[in-house]
Amino acid sequence: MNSRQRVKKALNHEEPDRVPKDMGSSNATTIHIDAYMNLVKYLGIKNKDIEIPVLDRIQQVVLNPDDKILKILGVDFKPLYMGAPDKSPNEWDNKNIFSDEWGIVCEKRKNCYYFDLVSSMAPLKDINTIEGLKKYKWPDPDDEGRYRGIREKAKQLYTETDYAIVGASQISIICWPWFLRGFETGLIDMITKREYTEELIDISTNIFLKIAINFLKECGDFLDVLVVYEDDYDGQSFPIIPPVIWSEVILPRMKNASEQLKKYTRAKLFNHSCGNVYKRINDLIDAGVDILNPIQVAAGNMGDTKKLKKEFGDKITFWGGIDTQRVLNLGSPDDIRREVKKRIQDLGPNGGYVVAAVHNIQRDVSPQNIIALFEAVNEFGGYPINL
Amino acid sequence: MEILEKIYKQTYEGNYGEIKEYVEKALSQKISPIYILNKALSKAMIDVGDKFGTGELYMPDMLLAAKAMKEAMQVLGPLLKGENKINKRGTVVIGSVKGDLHDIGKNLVITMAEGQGFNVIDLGVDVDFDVFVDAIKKYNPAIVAFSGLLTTTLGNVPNHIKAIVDAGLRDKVILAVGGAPVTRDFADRYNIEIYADDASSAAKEFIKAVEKNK
Repeated sequence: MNSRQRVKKALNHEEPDRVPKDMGSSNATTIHIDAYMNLVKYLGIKNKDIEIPVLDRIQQVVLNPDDKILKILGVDFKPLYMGAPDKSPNEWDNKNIFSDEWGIVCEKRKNCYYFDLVSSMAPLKDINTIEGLKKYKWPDPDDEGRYRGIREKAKQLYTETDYAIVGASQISIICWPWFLRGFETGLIDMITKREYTEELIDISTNIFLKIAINFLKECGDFLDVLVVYEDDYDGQSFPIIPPVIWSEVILPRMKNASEQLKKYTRAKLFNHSCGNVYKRINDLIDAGVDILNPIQVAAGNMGDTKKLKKEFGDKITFWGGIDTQRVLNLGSPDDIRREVKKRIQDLGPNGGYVVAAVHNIQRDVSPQNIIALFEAVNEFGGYPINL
Repeated sequence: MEILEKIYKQTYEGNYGEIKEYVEKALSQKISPIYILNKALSKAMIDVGDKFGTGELYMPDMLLAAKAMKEAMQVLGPLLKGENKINKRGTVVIGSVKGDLHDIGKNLVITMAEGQGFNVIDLGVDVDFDVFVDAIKKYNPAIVAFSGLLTTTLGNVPNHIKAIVDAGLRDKVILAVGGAPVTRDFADRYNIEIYADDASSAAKEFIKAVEKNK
């Protein structure tokens, strides 16, 4: 059974030969450049023998983990990203600050490991009216840079490799207004400027959706998974958004987007939401989500993976679940084996589970621990699961 | 006192636009600033914090209430500083740890702590080791609080503590730590006295700690 067959079965809630493994299928399931280079060195691979790492600049994670590494770890997925738009970002201060095509400004400060949003320079911070929003210069979803060569790349992955193919086309319904307005203002707007917030969400979501559809028109027939919804609804301990925003603003738009997307692909729709999203899982399933990531087990009820599987396991695939906040970074290889065993025990039966770290593997995770994670899947992840 | 109830309600509901007028009206009725702070503003913040803790209110509600309180404090703050009777519980020096730029949670802690009568010195975000040390020397705080949202930069917490120990100041301060990935275990590992789950409980823990140390 090759990777693609294995993944297809798992995502259809059937048992393949073993639980699929992921590292690198999307910018929410990959690895920080420092941890990656440590791993390369540990495996005795020379830098010149790997593909030059391409980074997600903001998170400083590797978008193209090398084939040699993926083979050693037994990863079953390969990502397919769009190109950058031809309208390039603005950069200044020796490339430590840039603004993207939305006008969102990010800065990497001296002591920091990532680029962070600069809320004080948020592009819509002084645009307080719906008329103002309509006049703003929005990104062009038809910018050809994004789609150039995509079909060929997708076809090549499909015909020349056995990997399951994961396309990425982000739709962030609620986070985007926060980024565009600045975090605090965006959060407060949800209560004080409801009409404005909805207009802003409609504008940005429609741009995202148009881009996703353009992308799927090129490659939708080759994809196994579409990483699409990326939003934060909940914190580690507490919900962020009020229930009325969830039910009246987000869900209807998500449902509509899923219906549109499913016209262009049979790929499973992947939703990445950190935090304790337990109470939202039924709604996400209703809104067309097939896969839930990252299963942040350190957040509230998400740690009870047995319960998650029992309640939702036949309707949604769980993807992630190996703790990055306490286990992968601070634990020993034995701690990691135990964690992987538990998650496979809970989430693995009847398919519908992909093993991966909770969110990206961060820079403080050792190569030994990364290897322990993937070896433990070989040890415990064979079907039928009998642990 | 009807006006205090109004200020309470304005704060609780986060109506920051008109709260200053209400505070001024209360002052014109000869209600003391400390009374307005304790009976209306702080009370509202505690209630919002508690409802946030039980999941009945949400992050934007907290931010709005904090915004209303800040507006009110623009009027009250200068008056409180001049008032000898003010129940100052001591000084808190707070900042996001080196390498960490997140501050929404930290700012909520500041608002809650100020509401409880602490004098708070905010060192901002990405605060270097020596900046905390210098602030301890300068402000002689009862509590030094570290905020962090990233597991990676939380690795700097022991380095912050080491700088404080090396400067011979560890015995002079109570340490506190908070932020989404922080746990009680994490605090215990580095002998940090105060840990709390959220901003409202943090302010309560601050009070407990300074009372205990009296």
